[in-house]
Amino acid sequence: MICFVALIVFGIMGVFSAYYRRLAKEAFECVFRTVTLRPCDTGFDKKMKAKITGKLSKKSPKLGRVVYKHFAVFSWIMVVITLVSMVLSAQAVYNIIVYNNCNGPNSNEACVITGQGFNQVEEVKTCDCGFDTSNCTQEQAVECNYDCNCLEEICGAH
Amino acid sequence: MHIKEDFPVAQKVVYLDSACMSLKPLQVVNKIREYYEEYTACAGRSHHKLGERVTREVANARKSFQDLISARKPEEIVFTKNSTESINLVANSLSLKQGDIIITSDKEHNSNLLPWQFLSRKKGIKHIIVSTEGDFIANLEEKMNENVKLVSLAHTSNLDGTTIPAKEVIEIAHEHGALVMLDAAQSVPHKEVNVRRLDVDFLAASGHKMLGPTGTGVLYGKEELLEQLEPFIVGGDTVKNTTYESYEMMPIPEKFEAGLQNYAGIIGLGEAVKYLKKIGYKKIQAIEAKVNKGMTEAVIDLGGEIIGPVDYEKRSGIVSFIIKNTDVHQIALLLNELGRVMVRSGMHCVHSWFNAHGLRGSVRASAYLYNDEEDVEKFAETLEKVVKLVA
Repeated sequence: MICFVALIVFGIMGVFSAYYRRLAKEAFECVFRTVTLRPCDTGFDKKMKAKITGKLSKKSPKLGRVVYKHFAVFSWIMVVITLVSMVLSAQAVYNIIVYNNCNGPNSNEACVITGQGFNQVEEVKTCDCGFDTSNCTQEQAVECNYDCNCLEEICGAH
Repeated sequence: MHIKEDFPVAQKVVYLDSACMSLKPLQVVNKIREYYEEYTACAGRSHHKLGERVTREVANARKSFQDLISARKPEEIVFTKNSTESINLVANSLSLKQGDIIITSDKEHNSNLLPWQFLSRKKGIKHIIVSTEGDFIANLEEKMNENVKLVSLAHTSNLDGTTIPAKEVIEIAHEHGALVMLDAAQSVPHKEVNVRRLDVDFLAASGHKMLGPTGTGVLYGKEELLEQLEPFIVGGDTVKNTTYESYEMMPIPEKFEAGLQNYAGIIGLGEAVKYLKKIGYKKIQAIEAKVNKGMTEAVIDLGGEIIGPVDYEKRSGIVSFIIKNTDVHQIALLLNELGRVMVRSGMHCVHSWFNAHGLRGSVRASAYLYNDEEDVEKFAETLEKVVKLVA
């Protein structure tokens, strides 16, 4: 199962590096054999297992041992996480195209792709300054120590 | 003199895969570079200064190898690509016919199995396998008869490092009128092999396992036998003269060395032989025994099962082992990952033996002259980590 995750991860990283393209190709061969109901005999899955558990056991032998023993379960978890994050990403991309926001219509929540919502001073917005603080940046808020008078001077009311 | 200093790779990693490929000393690398930088040319045919230098260097390499195995004449040394090609050369050049018997053991590398299986299909020769379990000599004698034309055996097994009693084997075969070929890919690099004392008819060796470059090998054959053999690859450099209807072959060894040769490799091999002679087989064997002792103890202490005899002195520089219920490739991959310890895993081109024994392979650590106690310590320490991880 780890080949599926590896194909996606290395496929994306392969856009930027030939090294990962080679790994992605190896992962693809393994995935192809698996989906055509043949055992993955390229050794790629074993290589990945050794790489992951080896690296983990250098940090924590205990954790390395647990992951080694339950590598199939670990692989499934990784597959599910990867699939879920792919679905969520696809949804976000759709929202951006349609609503120009990751989170769908009428949402003011932060969007990592557009950067929307990150520069606004939520702490200030929640308190009653008596004017619209949506133009104020975090830096300005810190500079003013969240003081409404100071903010009004710097970024002004609209 | 610290041998490791001549091997840059051995200083970076713990290299224990010498049964597959030996590392190369700087002397060999420099000799090859010298050929490419100073006298790249053809041997034997170009009479300019560079050509003559190559001819001389190739002749020196042939002479060096002749001395190494104590052959009578340099003409008895044929340069090939590797042991596999040497064995194939004999298999395809001997005039074998239907019903002729070829004997090999049950522990042969594919290179000394497939040529005979192919000839069984193509020419109808009979290929008989002798078991190495129990009394090998008795097993062999049982199979010998006047139809046996050749006994072709691995001198030292790449699977477990054991060496056959070659002298006895050759005597028995000769008593029955059969020729003997030794696959010496794992013996010539590690121990003294005297072809005259053994009275062996053919011997195959690989350069890449004895500090030489890849793509180099040797076939030794008794002069009178090589003269009788029909070359199976012919072309440039194998003939003195041709007309549209006829040809006149070169004498040995040239008649077997068709086409432009791997001069850089051959010259590098000559340098490798020189290096081996400088160190000496006694020292090499002492180093390997010491390293193998340490590796064997580590494997046994950690619950590993050794393939072949437990006594390390009977296994050259090789320790082949399994750890119950653990994939052999995982062990090798983790040794690499956790300690940069390079070993080989799998069936080591002896699939037939593993299949017959219901095993899926082994981990093979193989030492050579550049390994030392530090390597043994690292191997033991890393193997312990691996066993703890996978147990």
